[in-house]
Amino acid sequence: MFKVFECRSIRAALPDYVTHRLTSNEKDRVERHLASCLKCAELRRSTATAVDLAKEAREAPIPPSLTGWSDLRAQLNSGPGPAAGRNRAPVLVYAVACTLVGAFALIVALSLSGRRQPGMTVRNDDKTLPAIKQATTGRHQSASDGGQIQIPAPHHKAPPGSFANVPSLHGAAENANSRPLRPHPNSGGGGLPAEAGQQAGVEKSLAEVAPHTQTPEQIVPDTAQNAGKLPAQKIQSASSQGRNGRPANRLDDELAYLNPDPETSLTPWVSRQPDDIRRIEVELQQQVKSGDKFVTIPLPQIAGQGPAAVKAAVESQRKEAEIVDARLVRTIGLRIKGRSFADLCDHLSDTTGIRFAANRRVADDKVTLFCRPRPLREIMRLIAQHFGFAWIRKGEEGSYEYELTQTLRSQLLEEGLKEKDQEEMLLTIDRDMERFRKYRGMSFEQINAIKMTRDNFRELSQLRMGGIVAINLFFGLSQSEMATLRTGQPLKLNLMGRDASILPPTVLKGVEHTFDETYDRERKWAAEHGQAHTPESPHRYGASLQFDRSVPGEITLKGELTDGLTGLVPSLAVAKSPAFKIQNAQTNSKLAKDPDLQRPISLKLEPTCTLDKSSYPDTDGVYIGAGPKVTTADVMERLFTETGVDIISDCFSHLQSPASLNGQDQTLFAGLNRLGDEMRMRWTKTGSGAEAWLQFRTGTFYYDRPQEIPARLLERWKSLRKRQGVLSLDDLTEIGQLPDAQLDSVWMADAAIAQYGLDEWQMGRIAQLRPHWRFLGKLNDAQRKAVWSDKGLAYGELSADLQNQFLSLAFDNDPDRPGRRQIRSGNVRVLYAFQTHPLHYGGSYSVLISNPLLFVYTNSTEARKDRMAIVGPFNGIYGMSPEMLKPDAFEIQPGLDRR
Amino acid sequence: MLAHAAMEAGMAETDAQLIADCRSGDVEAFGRIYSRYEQAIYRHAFYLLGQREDADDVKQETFIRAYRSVASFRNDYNIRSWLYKICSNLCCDLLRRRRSQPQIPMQSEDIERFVAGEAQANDPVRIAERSDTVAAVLQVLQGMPVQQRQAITLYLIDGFDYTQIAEILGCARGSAKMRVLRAIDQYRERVASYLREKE
Repeated sequence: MFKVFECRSIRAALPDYVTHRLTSNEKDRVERHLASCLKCAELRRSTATAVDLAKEAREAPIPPSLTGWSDLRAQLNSGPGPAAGRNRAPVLVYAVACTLVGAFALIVALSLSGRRQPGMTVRNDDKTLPAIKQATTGRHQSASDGGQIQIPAPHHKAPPGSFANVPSLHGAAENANSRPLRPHPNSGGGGLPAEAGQQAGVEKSLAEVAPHTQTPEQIVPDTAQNAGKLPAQKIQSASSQGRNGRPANRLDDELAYLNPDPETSLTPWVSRQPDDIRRIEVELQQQVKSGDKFVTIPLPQIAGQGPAAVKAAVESQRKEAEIVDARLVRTIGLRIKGRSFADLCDHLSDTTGIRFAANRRVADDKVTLFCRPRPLREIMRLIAQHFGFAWIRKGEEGSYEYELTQTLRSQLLEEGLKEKDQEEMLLTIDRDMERFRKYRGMSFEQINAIKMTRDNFRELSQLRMGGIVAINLFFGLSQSEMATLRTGQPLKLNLMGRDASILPPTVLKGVEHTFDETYDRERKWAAEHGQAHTPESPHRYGASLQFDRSVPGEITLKGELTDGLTGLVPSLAVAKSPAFKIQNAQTNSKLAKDPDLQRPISLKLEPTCTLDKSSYPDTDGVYIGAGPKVTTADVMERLFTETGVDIISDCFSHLQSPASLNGQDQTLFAGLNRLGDEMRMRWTKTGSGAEAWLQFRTGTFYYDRPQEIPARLLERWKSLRKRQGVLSLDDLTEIGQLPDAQLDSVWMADAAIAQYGLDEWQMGRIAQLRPHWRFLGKLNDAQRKAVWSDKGLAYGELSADLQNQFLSLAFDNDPDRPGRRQIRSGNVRVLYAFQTHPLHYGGSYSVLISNPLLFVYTNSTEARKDRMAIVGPFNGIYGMSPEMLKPDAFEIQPGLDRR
Repeated sequence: MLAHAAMEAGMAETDAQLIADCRSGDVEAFGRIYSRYEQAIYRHAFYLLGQREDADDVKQETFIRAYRSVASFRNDYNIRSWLYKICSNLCCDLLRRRRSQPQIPMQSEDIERFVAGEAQANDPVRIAERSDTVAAVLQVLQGMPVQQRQAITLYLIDGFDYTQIAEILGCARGSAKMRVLRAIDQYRERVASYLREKE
């Protein structure tokens, strides 16, 4: 919040900053802020660009004035002298002059339509009004004209070339009471063809200028109607057509729309009707009852075949399904601790001689499996059942191969779980928002007048900090607006425009006082620093509402109130997925008396890794739980050792604190409940006695799966780091190519650092650098090598697409960046302190405090030479020039070792 | 900054003397004031109006008005600000009256041709840059409301501070600052839009 206030103050000071009008203290304050605030730094850069243009214009020569002192002196001598009182004559003169502008314009129009003859004259005998002559005709009497003013052309709309005769004209205006005529450059006095051409030029020019005059607000829809309803309508139209043109309203219809039923897709190409195909499938399932039921046998291809072929297929399917692969009867004991299914399958292949494989859908999912020798087919069946996967049997009898996969139905079930969660979360938010209903329609003053108590503290704080508009918006949402919000898009309102009518007038009355605290603080600051006072209140407002889903398994309703420069964004309601609620004692109440679970258990875990606060960078919420850690796989292993009960569990890189897991429980049942709840895992037990299995599943597995980084990659980087002593720039580039869900994951980052020792992980992960790594990921090896070099990679070496990306990065996605073709030269290079300095020694580039890694983009346009963007993990500076850098800017300086 | 203020203070004395001479009917004294401020006033009018001829006319009218009301000039007032105030008001009046008429921004070719005749003619690259710059600023300013155009011209082109701008615009310093800040917001967006279109 304080940052928002500061941003506002800094932005108001930016024009003075870029025009060097601030005192050194103020300048320091601005620079300190800019070094840590990307948005303000971006604004500074665009302000500087605009100011630079004006600065250049100030110094650039402009067409010289055609009149001089002699002209003026003549006019002064002919008119009244200095008056003691206020002289109204010139005002009158000017008013008359402006009236005559219209007359002149009329004459010009006539002349353009071809009715005017070259050399046409208008008599004007009034010699006491020189201003009139100048301001209306513009056009000055020739010495030979006497009292006549010649109108050669409307030269205040001079076409190109009209300055060709400037020097000669300028020196000739010495005649008292008259000024030289400005002849039309092309017609020598005002030719019609030239004017017609000029008019065409005018139209062309206006046509060209028109788009430039559109404001961003006009181009980008930001009203509720545009930002909200249009996308919703698009979605509606896309989803409103179900199969066979029927309206589709429910989720399953939507999925059916997106994933056409293979039955109907197949129908046009086969002789069978859909009912026939279904009948055959049902027949197969009914007839084939024996064999390895956990194994899926692909349906024979019967498309386009006749009845005989179908009969043969049914027979073949029956035979296949009846086969029991005798090799799967053999027993095998396993100790798989947090390994991927690909590894498990390799292990099974090596151990049994049967070929096992995990396809790409499941290969990187991890499993923990500890069991005494058991029939292989039992283990396979348990895996399929526990994870909702399927084994596909392929090949010939006697040498069957097995592939583990996740069926589409299983995937959809996971998606369905998320959908269901989302509905529940939205309902939770809806219920939570009821707290605000009693404040609906109240003005800011009314809300401010309510006495704050312990009960209403939360609501009133949120309302006073910008929530007042948002809650009124929320309670007044139309169906389509709610649909827009549900899609994740923000609903934006311009409260100074037509959107103001959406809200009750009382709500907007006095809403400007929401910013009172901000403005008071700024005024105080301005007074202390001798600055101009700021206005009493903001002059424009906007509001927005959005369901923020940036955290997996969580929805936050955010309402923003902005005054155009800054905004207040209270989180009005937060809902977490029910998946986070783990209550094993309640869920497993039926097992409370299970004889297998009545023995006491004592657990003492030794940490297997330590999560330290890394030196660089700690700008986000990582490392909150620093200290000794164990993995869930460690816990399962210990549990297996302590209980002797076979265990199967999924495995994610969630680190646990051993202190929170250690303990002594009177029964295994109680111990399992405690451990499960602490680790956010659900457990159950199948079988009994020596045949029992303890099964664990992470409660949030369908949110965690997309966040888990394949262990094979982490192992490889770990191995590289061990060999190199540090993750190289190539390694970091590779890390930066991971999906956002994986890089965003805080618990995954913890594990990468603590479990795999990848101390530089944040360099590749941090959101600010991510687009830069992805840009490097698109370069070929030679280009990347050039980037690592001191010389850098030249802009000209990039393809058109990469040049555009270069500019987006160098200008921080500023839409006002120069065009690709405007760049005359440029390069990109990366400076990396870790390459030569081990992380724990610290190391930083002095240009940006404590940044061990810098992306440096340099570019030159005709207007601006050697403009630099320097981006590090902490912050970035845009629009720098080399002279603004200290000589040692790019030298490695001793860093701050926080260990 | 201090040096600039001192210079201004020094000039104010001379200006005061010249004004006194003017009041006694010395036209040539006014000529010296003219020669001192003529270029600045013309430049201000040029960027506000976007046309040389109108700028020329307004410049002359500014000095005519100044001369005719020199008797009422307060000695504690800054003559530079005073001239700018007259000029700025004239420009605003003209722009407001122009509103119904289509206006044509100065073409960059015009400026380029002009600049080619200037002393920097031996540096074609510089000429191109400068002509582009003037054309760009004119085009950007042309689409802005009169008051904002005025604020931008005074603050960025003429280099006045908020106090001086407040004097010229006849408002409080805080209002002048707000007007400048808003104008800069608009101007920044328009420059960005212009550069984007130029590509």
